[in-house]
Amino acid sequence: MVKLDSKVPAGHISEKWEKHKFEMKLVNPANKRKYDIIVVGTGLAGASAAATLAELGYKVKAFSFHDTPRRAHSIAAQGGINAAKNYQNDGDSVYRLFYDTVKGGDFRSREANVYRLAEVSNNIIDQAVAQGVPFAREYGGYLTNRSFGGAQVSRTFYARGETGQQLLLGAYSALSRQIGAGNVQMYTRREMLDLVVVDGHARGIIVRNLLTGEIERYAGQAVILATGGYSNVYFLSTNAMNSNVTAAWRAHKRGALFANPAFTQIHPTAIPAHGGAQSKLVLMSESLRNDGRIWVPKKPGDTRKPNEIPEEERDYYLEVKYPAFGNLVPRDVASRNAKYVCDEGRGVGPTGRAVYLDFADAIKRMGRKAVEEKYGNLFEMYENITGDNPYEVPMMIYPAPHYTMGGLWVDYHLMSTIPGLFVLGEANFSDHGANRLGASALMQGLADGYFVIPYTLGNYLGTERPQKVSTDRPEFAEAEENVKNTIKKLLSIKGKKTVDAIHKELGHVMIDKVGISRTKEGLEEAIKKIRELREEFWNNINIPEDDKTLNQTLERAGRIADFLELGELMARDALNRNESCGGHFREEYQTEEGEALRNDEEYSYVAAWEFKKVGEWELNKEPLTFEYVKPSMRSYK
Amino acid sequence: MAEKINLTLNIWRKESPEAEGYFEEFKISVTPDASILEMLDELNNDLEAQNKRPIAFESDCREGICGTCGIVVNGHPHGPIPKTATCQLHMRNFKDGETLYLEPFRAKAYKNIKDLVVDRSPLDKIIQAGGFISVNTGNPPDANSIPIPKETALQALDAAECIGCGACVAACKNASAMLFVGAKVSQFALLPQGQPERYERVQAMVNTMDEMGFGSCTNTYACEAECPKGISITNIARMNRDYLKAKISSHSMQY
Amino acid sequence: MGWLSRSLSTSIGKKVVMAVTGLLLVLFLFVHLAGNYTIWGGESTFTAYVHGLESFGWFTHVLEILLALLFLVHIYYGLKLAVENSEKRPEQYKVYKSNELIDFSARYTWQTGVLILLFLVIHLATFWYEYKFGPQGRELYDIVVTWFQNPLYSLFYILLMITLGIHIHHGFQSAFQTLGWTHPKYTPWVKKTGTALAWIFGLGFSLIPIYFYFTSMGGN
Repeated sequence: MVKLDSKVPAGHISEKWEKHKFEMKLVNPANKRKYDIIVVGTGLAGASAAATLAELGYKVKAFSFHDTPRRAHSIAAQGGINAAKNYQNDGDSVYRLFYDTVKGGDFRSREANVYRLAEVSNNIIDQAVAQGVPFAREYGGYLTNRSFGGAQVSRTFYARGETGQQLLLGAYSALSRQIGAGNVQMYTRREMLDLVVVDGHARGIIVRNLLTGEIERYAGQAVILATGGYSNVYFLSTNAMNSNVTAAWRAHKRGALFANPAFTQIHPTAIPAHGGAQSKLVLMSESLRNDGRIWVPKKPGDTRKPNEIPEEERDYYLEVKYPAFGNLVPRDVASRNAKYVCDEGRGVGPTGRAVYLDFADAIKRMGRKAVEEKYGNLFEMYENITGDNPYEVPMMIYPAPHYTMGGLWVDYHLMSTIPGLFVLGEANFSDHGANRLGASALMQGLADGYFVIPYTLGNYLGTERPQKVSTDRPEFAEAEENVKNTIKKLLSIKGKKTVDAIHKELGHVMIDKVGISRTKEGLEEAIKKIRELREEFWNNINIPEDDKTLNQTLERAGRIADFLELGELMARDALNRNESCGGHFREEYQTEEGEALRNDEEYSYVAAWEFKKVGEWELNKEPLTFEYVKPSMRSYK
Repeated sequence: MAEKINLTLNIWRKESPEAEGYFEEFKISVTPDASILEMLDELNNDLEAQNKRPIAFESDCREGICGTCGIVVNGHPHGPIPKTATCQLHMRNFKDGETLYLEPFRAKAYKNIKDLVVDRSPLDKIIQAGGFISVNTGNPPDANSIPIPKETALQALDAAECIGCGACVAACKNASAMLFVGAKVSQFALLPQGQPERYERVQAMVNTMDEMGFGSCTNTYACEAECPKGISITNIARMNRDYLKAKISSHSMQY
Repeated sequence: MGWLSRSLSTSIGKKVVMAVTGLLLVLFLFVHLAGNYTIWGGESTFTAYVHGLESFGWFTHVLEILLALLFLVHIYYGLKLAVENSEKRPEQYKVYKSNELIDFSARYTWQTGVLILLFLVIHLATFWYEYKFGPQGRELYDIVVTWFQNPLYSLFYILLMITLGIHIHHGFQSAFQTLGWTHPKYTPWVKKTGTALAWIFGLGFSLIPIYFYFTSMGGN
């Protein structure tokens, strides 16, 4: 059992962070350069952290498996970033953003963390603008906003449909400035394969140089993981091809607890699968739900073309069921309802697993030009992929695994259960509870990197005063040996199956049994199947070539091996949680109207899993208390 | 599902950075709904099943925004369809029976690492030399304290949309990186936040660009025609203008 | 190196030299063409023009030297850029089609430049050298007419003037782009002007040999 101390400071929620910033220890400017800080991952959270820490004077070593930090998947976020600026004078405030996020997360997040996130959200916008991020503006030259799912105010800042790209390039430019100045040592094409723990503290990492295959050791007085989420466990997801759980998972196996793995988000507006050789799902920004109307034919098996179906035979099911929020209900609600109408046989498109997202009314109301200005590049992208023109034919969408709220457990300081190991961005579990609101991922990644870690890391270093450790220590040798053995084992299997084939099978099990909706039987079956797949993987895969050069199959194999362990934990977590909340929907626990039924009596806790051995975990619970936002049934009616 | 098409692929193979490259021929049957990278995924899956060396190529987001992918398909970086990254190039654009040549981005500044994989890190070096606004994380003024005309912000965004794939270099007969550099210089030159460093930045970035071994721009505009994001050569002109201004009027002797 | 030589040796610096010398050479071509056209006034007008030029004395030589420098700098930098750029892709594409998306004149700028250089040498040798250093007392008009009655020479001359037109078609707008003189309102005009100049020089210079070739046929 691990004692989980969230270290949430005392005081009123609106004063906790401000007060705590004063209470935390500082490292004096001259001493900062004595600290080597390892940052793994250079997406929004990692790049912003690495840049900011280097600006403060720390010696930073940043690692990315990409060829350049600018490739991280943060770049693909389309819709926007939330902030409580209240530029629109529509009643927004830090408190409302906090409230919406806790409620949107279905009361499974830590209030204090969420409040801090809302608090620093405004700084992020200021910082990004100062870096030259070209957000959308009004004719008067001031910033404009759009509204997003789960909120009744317009608080989302955006840059066409490329907000993630622009924010990442902002953080990347700050990081590049520090690399150029020699304050950050950038290691590209390096994949972290193990964490080195010395005397109970994280003190280094083992990486593989992806070009030469060399196994390298790096030491630092703290390790920061900003390695993203694990949606690729589903094989088909909106994540990038290389997104993986490996760095976080290897840290988990070294003692960091993994929290709420079953909380995954299935995004309602992806382009439906075409089948066959499909390698990933492409998201259409959720912002499309602002002006697009979702519908399916009223009658099952209707094969008419969408434009031939008269108005009265269309079912705008979200607008009917949820009149207050309509098409802007939170993601999980939208996804589940899409699944239901398709299960009823009312799905459209060649596979029958799709619903329409129609812009005919928007074009009528705003004019084609305004629609083009707002969504032009998304429409272009859609047409490019599907061959259909959304100005004329309604788009087709279907939910796709997109974001994972679960991740390594961290306290208020973003430190995991291994002292000295910090986890930022999507890789941690902290702020989104059981469901993340749209445009909040960019906000969290940058909040963690720009405005939280610079303070909390200083507190750790100021308190612990860790000394430099040598990479010659036995702990490094042991970790390196561990990595080398795994690689050797993978290469020596020489079986019949390809790595991708196993990944696809795993993905199938995961989406089917641990996806949009889950049952006890299904989850038990999933665990059994995942175990069989794991067995098959370790006995029957084949990896051509050796480990001395760029070997992309070997890279993938290592990641799939970890997904095969994580997948089981996700199913176990889902099985443990006998309630429905946010992205986790257990069919046994729903209201008569088919809405998610939470069980606050028994499950108002963070499930933090402690690794014992492969396939064996111990559950630790961090109770959640809600002092400010009283848990209520989420209602978007 | 649409009917499959048959293609002959001639793919550039190179086992290591030092090895000699060569073309290898493959016959493949593929669904027109697949992207060209999904076609390669399938081919690799077959090769792996036969314990043969799969084709090394890079890709990540597969939605045309990360800039990781980049294959020269039949003489065009990112293939023959305009404003499309390799990952978004669907096989429905090719005819049954066609022969495709797949080559890496070729340039002196890009080392060919393996098969279709090249090293584009020189582009990062250029950004590190000045592709930023020097502002530390902290408390900059409120985001709305500087109004920026909508048109200007959009122009800056047009330039900032560059995905850093480096196809401009691959397309240019001189392997020049001027479109990439021009886009970054322009983004900051257009915005009020970029003004303090405007003239130092352009000189620093151009100098590094030259050091990295890229060619010089001879205004053929092949880069613009091949750019998957349609970045305009107006950005190059803007960089040239700033560079000249900097040379003529800047007090700094550093460059 | 000082800041100036450093600046002139960067990629943009070299291009600026090309642009400035190129635009000045276009100005020279105007003067040259106007001068040539005195030939329509007959032998006496043309000869008077030639003698008039010489009457400036030392000033003519200064202009000649400046003009020669202009040419030499443009040629030197042009060749230097061509050689340097040709080294930027050591391993060539098996199939390379990006070039097919661009204007013909842009594709072959240095090649047309080299042809024009070749022409320049022959042009100077046949007209200027023969007038200055050939048999005494022979008027330029006579030399010109004699050469242009040679169909092979005229054909060569005309082809090279078309080449010059192609060179200018790309070069003129290219100079504006290099100097950063672009604007959504005016750049289209610059491009049209470049095309017009290509026709003016290509056709303009060619009219003279065409005229003399046909009049010589008539004379026979």
